[in-house]
Amino acid sequence: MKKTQVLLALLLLATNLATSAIVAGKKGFTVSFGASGPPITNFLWAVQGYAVSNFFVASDLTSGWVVEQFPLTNDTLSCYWADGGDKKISCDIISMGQKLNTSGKIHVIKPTIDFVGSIDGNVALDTNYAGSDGSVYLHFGASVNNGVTNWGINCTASNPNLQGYDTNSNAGFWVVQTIVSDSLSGIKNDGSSHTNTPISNALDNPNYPTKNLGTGIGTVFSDAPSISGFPTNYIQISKSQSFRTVLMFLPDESDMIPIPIKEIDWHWSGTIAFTNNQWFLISSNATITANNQLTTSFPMWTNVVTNRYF
Amino acid sequence: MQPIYSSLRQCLFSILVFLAFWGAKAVASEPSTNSIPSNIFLTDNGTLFWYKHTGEKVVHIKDIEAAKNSLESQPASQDQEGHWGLATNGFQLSLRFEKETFTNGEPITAIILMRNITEQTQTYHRPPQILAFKDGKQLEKKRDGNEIEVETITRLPQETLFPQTQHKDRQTLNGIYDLTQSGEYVFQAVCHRPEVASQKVSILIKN
Repeated sequence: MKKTQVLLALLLLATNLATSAIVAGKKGFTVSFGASGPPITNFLWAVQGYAVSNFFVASDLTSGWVVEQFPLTNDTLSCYWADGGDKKISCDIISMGQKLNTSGKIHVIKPTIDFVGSIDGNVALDTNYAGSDGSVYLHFGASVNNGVTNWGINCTASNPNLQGYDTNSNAGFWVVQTIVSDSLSGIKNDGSSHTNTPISNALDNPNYPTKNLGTGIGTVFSDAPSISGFPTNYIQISKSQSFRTVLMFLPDESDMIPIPIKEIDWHWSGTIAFTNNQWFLISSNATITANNQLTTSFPMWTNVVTNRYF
Repeated sequence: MQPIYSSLRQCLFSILVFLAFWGAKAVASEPSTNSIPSNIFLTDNGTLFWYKHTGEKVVHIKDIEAAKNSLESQPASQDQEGHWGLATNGFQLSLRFEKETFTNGEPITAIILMRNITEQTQTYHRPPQILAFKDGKQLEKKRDGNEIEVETITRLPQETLFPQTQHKDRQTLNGIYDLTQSGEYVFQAVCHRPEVASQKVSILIKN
């Protein structure tokens, strides 16, 4: 498919303008009668599908956000589509007192891919945690058995289909993981309880993207969250975290933004109690709540959480 | 039909309305290569590598050219400001600051580079940690007495580093250590898996 700039012409009121473009690319449209034509005094654009103005990530990575609104009353229209398929663009104009309408259609290509999460490790309380320094960890996965590490969750990308997108272009699939919610609470040995300030909508560590999954052909993102170094003045501690792991697609071209394609939502929790000078796991859970789910929802965050070591 | 509309209709048949679509790529594909010159180390921020339809991993020539002109991408011997430590376990670790003297309370941001100096893909625990010393004593990290303080890993620290590439991390040290006392501080970046360390770097904090 040719990806050079396309200039499309149509008579006013003509319809069924059709061309194709890759999702993630900035699309711009203008309406005019040409230099010698009558002036247009009013524009009102209408755009079909989920299109956004832009997606931004702060340079220090502490925030990421999407701007959904874009001007619909200018002589030009500029947006990115986050979903695929045929999209109708129309514009009502007023020229010389007359209300007129023009419209066209563009086919937005959105690649498809599988992004399947599997829980391959248990929530455990022990020293058997990959990278352990001998401390006891409350951890979701990363136990090492016979030299094999069983991560808590493995998110595997496979079966990418670029749907005819230019095969001469470079591209990549990215994972961006955010922490939807994170809580830590406990009961002190004097019977009082404490809950830490909860965390929500955070980028999971200051790296963007979280991981480059390349071609998406059998590439894997794994995770195995944990806590350790339990304070001695507590007799019970509970940890709960929910994550959103989004697979995004980005072509290697100018004026592109990564577009969310699939997501995996998952959660883990564990409660431990201190009895007879030893910590015991008294309850735990690890669940994938949404798997291989189609999405157009951009990852967004307002802070960043960094792995914390003493 | 009113005259003005008639005029406009005529105009419609003679003048095209343009719907310009510039969304598809307007520039030719940049040449790329999968061959990084020796003695150049590219900083991989997660977007360094791109993939062809065939699965081939490529790097933009512009990124290689930029690296040629970047001090941080040069061999350790040519980057004194990087305070590169000894090559250990296939890695080399750098710690740099934007300046040597800070005003008390001013954010002190450390830039850490972890470099793969082998010809094989390697893994390590990211990010490296920064040790702080004052008056010859190692400082403890800040703790919030009002919160339950535990070590937390939300993301697997094992990271892959390709040959001739390096990862860059930034850490604001004021958030990790109590640096409110004026005087000389010494910092060192260290990674424990595998063991590798930067040189020690002295920073002066003045009132």
